[in-house]
Amino acid sequence: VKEKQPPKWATLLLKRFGSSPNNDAIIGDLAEHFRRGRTARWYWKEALLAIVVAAYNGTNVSALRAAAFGWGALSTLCIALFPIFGRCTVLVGIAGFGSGLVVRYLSRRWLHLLVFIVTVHLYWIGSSVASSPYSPLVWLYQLIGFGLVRGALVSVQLSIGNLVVLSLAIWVGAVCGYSPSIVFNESGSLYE
Amino acid sequence: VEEMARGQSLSSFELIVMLTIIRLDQNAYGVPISEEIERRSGRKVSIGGVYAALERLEAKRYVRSELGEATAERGGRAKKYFTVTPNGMRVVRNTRQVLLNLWNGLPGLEGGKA
Repeated sequence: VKEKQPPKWATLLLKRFGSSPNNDAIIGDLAEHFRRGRTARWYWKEALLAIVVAAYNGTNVSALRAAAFGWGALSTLCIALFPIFGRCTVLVGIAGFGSGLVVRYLSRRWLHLLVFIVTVHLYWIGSSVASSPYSPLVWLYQLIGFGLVRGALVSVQLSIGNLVVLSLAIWVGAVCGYSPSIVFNESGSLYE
Repeated sequence: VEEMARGQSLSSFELIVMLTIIRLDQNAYGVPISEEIERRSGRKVSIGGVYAALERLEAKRYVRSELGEATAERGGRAKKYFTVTPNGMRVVRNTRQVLLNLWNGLPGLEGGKA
């Protein structure tokens, strides 16, 4: 008789994003509960809750200060560049910020660089198949809501398509996103 | 009482977790702790929530933990057993005393309906 296996993806998520020092024991406990008759739905709920609760439990003042610093730096950059380059720069910066936050959860250092590079290049791969480097962002606007498309088109017409500035924006965003992680490491309070 | 005054108090859930560990004695790891709390309190608890409380208690040195055996049922992962430290026992007793002191003189809350 094949043994009942806990949901693989939920376990993987918990393994990767669970920041509790007892993460291994939590995964073991969930597996034990599951094999005693709990449902897959229960397992998923508990796994996601464990990720959120552990992140909340480990949050401290220095972590919040670092996050505020990251967002503050990114906001300043966006506000400074918005009148010149429009909202495209802002969105690219935010994409970089997201990648900076994501890489913290990857344990191998070479993966950090890889994610940054992929984030930057995904944008440029998108732009290479379109007529304008801003087109992928116009598509994004279309996905988000039709009301924003006109604003995006105006932004494309007014902007000079400065590739260097957009690259810079995504890298600065990535550094801003990554900076809270540096403080997490120094304090040693959130992660091992 | 003095320890509570010095800020070494327990939240209600932390107190529940510590009492459960004491009750389970040698078998206090995540699964029986959460099951026992659900059985006795009648409320659902998440495993993540139980471990969050255990981590806070361990940081305060009210409980300590040690790794136990790994089983196939757990996917080969070791159990983590928790025990209450002497300092933790003192805080639990003090908390009980404070609650009893507060309870005394409130006959309207003793048994029966409020």
